[in-house]
Amino acid sequence: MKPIYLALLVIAAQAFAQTNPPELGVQSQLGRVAFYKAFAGYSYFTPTAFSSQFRCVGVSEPLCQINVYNSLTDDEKAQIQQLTQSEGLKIVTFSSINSKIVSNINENFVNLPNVTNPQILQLNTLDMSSGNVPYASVAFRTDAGSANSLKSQYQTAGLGTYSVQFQLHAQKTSAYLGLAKPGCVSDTLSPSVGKGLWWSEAAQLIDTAVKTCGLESFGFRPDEADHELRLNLEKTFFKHVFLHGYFVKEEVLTDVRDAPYSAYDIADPTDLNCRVDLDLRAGAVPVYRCAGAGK
Amino acid sequence: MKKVISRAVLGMVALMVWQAQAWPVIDKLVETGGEPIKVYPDQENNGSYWYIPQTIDPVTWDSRYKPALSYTRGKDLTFIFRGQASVDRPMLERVAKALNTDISKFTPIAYDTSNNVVCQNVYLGNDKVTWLYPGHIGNYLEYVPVSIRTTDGEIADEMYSLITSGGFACTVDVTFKAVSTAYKLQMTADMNQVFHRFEAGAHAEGFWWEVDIHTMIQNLYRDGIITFTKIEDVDAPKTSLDQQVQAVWDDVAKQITAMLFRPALKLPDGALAGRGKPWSLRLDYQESTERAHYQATLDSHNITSKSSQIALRLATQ
Repeated sequence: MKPIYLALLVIAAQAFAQTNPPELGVQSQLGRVAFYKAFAGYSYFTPTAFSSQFRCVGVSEPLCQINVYNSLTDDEKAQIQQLTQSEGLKIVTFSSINSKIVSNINENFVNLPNVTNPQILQLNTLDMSSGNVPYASVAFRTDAGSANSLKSQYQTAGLGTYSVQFQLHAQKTSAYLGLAKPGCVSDTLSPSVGKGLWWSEAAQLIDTAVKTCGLESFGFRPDEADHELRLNLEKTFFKHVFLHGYFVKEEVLTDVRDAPYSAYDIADPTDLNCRVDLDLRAGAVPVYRCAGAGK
Repeated sequence: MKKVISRAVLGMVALMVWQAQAWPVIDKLVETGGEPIKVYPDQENNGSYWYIPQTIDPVTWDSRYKPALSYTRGKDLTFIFRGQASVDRPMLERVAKALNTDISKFTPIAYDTSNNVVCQNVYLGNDKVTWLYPGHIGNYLEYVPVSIRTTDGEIADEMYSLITSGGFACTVDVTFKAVSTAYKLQMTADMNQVFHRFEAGAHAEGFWWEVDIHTMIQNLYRDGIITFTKIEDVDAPKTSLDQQVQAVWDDVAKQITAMLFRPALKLPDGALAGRGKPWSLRLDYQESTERAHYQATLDSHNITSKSSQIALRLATQ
């Protein structure tokens, strides 16, 4: 038997409507952003779709700008949309406002060309925007020869790096047990609200929910998963009133209407040190890395 | 030209529904269908949402108020920028669709304060260029006026090229008010035992003063009959369990009073001052297995001020 009682003491065992931090176990790359797919609740993409542009205007003493943008391409948006539709995922992102997910954002231009009096603008928010608003930029004046040289350098070796470091609060789920389809339990039980039920009728409804809402589990044996889920559904959704039988808890149905139902979601929270490096070079894509910081 | 929702228009909508709105719950995430925008639920109204405009963009309102650019090649340039905080309307419509609602349910979060406008002013110290911009941008109803003028022909050509191909960049610090979770706890209690403890300590006819109910509840916590565990999700505060428990007593008293007591009809003799409301224990309380394992989620919100930065894009469109 899974040591559920101990596990419950660990952390984050909620019956439903969980707002989980990013889930580390199923990280993948979706275009330029990292994607953390959750077992229940929200899946996240990191707001790190950085790209750069270099341009100079003017003739005798050109004004040059290195612009860094943080926006998704149409193709990346389509990939995310596809996941919401094909897998029914609830997908969100975050920024500095969500300080319980991301903190200590530190951004820098490093190894810039040696230019006079560069004017640097940075947001330090991880905010994404539409494609034409720079997230960070450097502007400087130079001479015509240097401008041409820098244009050439931007196409080849690059003009340095835009480096973003932050701390990500995430979790690693070691065992999961739940029903994936949002609203499914509510839909199954709603017709019985207000009716007194025999226990056999309540058990029949639970059986229907387990069969139609798709049992998902790992870290449990199949028979354990089935047994534990039924017990948890019973405890969460039904109340027994002496001499009147079993009733569906109407208020709980409202709470879980749009949330995937998880009976057990045993997860260890952790803080990761993450960094994204974007070479300031034509066509470069950001490199995203995270390493455990421990608690 | 990209369609944007002017904050002025939405601001008026916001004012119309203001009475019905509360605050955005800033630590509660809302699905956005994958769109890179920050959307938060309303504290009071299920199905109402707030969003944070991401940039100050050029604005056109009524075809009269819009950025103006006067330029003579090789001679001079005057640029009057009018911008407002905005969000891409099609994006907001896609978010609304993902939430099975429409954009009338979305209200922009007004900036409470703004300061420290910083522009990438490479012309600083150049006496041939006059660049004026405000120190703050106001709240979401206000335009942001910026003016740039030069009579240097080469700089005029350079500025024209920049303004019509992306624009100049600025940033501004903003703050806004929202609510965030003060505590988020799971309470577990053997309510049958709680009832017996109250029954044993009651005055005649099951009478209890509010202040004594609070004291008894803390004793029940000390004795382990009521326990609390932290709920660890992203909107839960990072404060310790002890700190959260200190904040939760009123809420716990409200739950237990609602379950076990009713307002007392007959007051006992003695001083009333400082003892709170009088309550009578429900003598018809029914024990059950379920009540022996009573669980409730307790959370509460505080109004908080959040700071951020947003970008301005000084361009014609």
